[in-house]
Amino acid sequence: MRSFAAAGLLLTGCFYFDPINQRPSIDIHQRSSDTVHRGDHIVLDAVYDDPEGQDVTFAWSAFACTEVSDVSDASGTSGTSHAIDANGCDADPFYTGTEPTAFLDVPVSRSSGTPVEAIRVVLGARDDRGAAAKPSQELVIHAADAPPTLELRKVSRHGYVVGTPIDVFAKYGDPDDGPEKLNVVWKVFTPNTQPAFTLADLAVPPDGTDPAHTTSGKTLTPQGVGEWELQVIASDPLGEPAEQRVAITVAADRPPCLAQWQPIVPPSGATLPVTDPTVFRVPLVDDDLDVYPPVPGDPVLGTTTFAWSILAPGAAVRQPLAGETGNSVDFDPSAFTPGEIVELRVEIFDRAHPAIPCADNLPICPVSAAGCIQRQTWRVEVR
Amino acid sequence: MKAAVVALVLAGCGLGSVGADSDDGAGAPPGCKVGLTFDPVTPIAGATTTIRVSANVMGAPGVLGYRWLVRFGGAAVALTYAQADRSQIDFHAPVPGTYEVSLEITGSVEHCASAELPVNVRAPGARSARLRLRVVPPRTAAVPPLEKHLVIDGGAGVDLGVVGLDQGSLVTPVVEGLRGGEPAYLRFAPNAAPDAVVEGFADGAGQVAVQLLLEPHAILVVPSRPGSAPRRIVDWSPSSSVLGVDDGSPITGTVHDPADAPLAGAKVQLSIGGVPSTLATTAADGSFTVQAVAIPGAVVAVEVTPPGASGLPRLLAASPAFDLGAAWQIRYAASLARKDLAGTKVRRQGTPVGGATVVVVGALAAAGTVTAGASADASIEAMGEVRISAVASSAGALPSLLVPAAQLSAVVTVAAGDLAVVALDTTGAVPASLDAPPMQAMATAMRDPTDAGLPGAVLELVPSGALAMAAAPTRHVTSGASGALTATLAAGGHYDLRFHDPAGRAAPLLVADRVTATIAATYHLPVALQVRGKLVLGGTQALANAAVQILCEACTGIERDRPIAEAASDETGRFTLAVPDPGTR
Repeated sequence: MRSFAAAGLLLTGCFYFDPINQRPSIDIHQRSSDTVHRGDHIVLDAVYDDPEGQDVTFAWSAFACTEVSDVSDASGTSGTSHAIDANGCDADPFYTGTEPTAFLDVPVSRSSGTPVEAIRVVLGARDDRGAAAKPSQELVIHAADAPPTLELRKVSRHGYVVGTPIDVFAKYGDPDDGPEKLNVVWKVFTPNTQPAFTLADLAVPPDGTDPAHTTSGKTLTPQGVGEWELQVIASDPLGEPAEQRVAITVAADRPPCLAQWQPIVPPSGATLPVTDPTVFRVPLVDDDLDVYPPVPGDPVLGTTTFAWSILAPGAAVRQPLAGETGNSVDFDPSAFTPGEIVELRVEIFDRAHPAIPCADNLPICPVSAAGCIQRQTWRVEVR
Repeated sequence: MKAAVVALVLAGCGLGSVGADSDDGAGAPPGCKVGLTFDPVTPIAGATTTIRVSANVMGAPGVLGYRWLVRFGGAAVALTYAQADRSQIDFHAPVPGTYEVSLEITGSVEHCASAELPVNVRAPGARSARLRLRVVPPRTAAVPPLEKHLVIDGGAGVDLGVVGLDQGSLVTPVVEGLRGGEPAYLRFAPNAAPDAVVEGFADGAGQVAVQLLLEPHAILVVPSRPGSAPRRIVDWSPSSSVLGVDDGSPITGTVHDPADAPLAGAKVQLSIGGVPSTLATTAADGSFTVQAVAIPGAVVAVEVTPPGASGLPRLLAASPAFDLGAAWQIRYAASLARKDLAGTKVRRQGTPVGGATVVVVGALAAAGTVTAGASADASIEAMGEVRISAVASSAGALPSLLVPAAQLSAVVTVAAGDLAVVALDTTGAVPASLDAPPMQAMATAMRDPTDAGLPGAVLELVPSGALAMAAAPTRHVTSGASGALTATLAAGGHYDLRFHDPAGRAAPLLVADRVTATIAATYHLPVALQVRGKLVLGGTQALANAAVQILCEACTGIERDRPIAEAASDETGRFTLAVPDPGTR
């Protein structure tokens, strides 16, 4: 029966049949070939072809995935492609859309909180007459893990002197995970002599202007001189590390140096004539820890210890001025007979140098090649 | 509106200066120059006080943008723009203190460095104190010291802004005497700031090299060669190459003891207007000759130091009427009797103190006369000063020790730092013993104005009276954790108490003339206010490691050189000092 009818139509040419609606064909085009990182913004275009030229409605779905493995492209011509195990993606898409172009933000984590390693994009299409593209297109995009960033900075207010605190600051961030998820490990490498040390947490106020980074700090207090190194490793949840090291040369406490004195010291063989009561003063001492004038507000810094002595006229032995431990002494020439020669001496000490390494008969005590002196002597002529 | 203070930053050319001592840029290479002025001249804090700051930008082609920031106590202060182009701002100053204004210029073809200006806003009813600021640059900088007067208003801290120092110039004059170059000690005092002294020594050829400001100086020259008279040279210009000295004029006279016999071996020295003469020793006939340079109208002081064994006091007299050309007659008072302390035992709690040093001290109102000229004023009484010392034997007995018969004191040093002051009346019989009591313990505490303890503060116990005459050393004591401190003091000794806090939490305090029993249990140090500033050398270079001192304006003598506060400038040239707050009415 059906064959007859068909034969009749062919014979007469008067019968009309709708053409067969063909399915659209589609593809996914990734606009950028750059490596995609977690958190990146990507743009995908749906490329389609409908034989009838009909409009096509798209259905985008993108899923966050974890388990991704590289496999050789079947054709063997285009390097690697990615495959995802069945349970490697979230059940619910993180993105859906119907426009020809999909704008996606690659999530950092799956719904379970585990880091995203890939996204699986599925594109379906249907033309105006309901013909669906078959098969639907699928694209697996590897989501690379951006490594953390790390900067180290060292600060010492005490000249990197042994036994004093050295603050080290680590400023870290992670473009995809953020600084909060980083695991930061500090490690101290001592000099070969393996001196003791402490490494204490240092409170660092947050920088509200830079939420992408966190700065944490440690206070290293080394108990030995030499080359120290502090290593910091910041690792993100996928184990991607960033490592930095900071070298610290820890020096010994150097002797204090007389930086200024008043009045002038006469040259060898000359005397300083003093007619009126005079303040002999050391206004300034240069030292790494025990300076004068003292610096308030720093518990590590101390102040110079002064010792004054006098060689009275005719005396063989210099007498300490007991109790005169300040940076000045008053000298009253009327306590002596005019014309007499008096030697007034000041010596300075710090916590590590409680003694003078010079013979008593030397008017000054040089303690370094840089002109540092720890003793000064005035030869005074009483007038 | 009247511009009050100008701060100029010379950017692009690398020059910069801010504050009251600002550089106006004269002679500077071309480049962006940013000047800040504020009005009113002397702002006083109040609810309606508004301060206008104006920017004057030169050498900055382009469409300029102005980024202002005003901070007070570290916090930003709200500001409004007084000009459409934002080159002027207004801000309120309800609280006294320093408002820090900074400005960044954008849009200029030439780079403009940011400008900063401290605006000091006075407290209502502020009292003022006059002080001196002294800056002694580091030895390595070879820069003359700076002294300037300050007026500090009470009630709030003050930022002096830039304190500019002048590099000065190296000058190398020669001290030239009658016989050629002379070695000498020299003190150069700028006329404009006489306390900013630069010292130097001329070598054997008379050559001296000093870094001086190029302005007139007064110079004290003390030749090292005996016989050359010291002299003061006034209004000396550093461009001069010679400092002339000579022997001065001879001044002659005689010294007689209480028996009117010539006194040999006495040291005689004059001081004319503060310039010493040469030092002479009287001959067997009591005669002396000193060399000095006369200064018309100046006060002439004479000092006679008798031989130590004479038992006589030192004579001191001063008068503007002394005639330097006259033959000086110096006589000890005939009434001046002497006693010998030989055999007097030095004891402590009944036990002889072997090897103790005894310094007998005292002052005698009329110990002699000095006559130098025919006028009535040229003959005056001289006061006597007694400082005679001896060391006791191992048995504690004093050797022969002549002292004036008078109400005196004996300062006994039992051991280093172990002293006692003993009254010694030699007007009658010589005492058989001098009993030196043990040192006495004292305890006190230093507190700030809010009654909080001041740990780490320092008390200097400065001997006065007999102890000072015996040259007893000052004792320095640092307070403990609660501000408390203890010390031992010489029994019978008088001290001036000088409290100061190196941390600047309170201002220094001086309490005069205390003995152990009159030292209070607590002393409250006065309120301090902060004086800040920045040292800049030559208009551009921050001056680090300079000694910065605040000193008394009205003080004289040794007190004039004793700092009220001292600090060192940091690597940026900044310094902070704590000085007494003059307060408000």
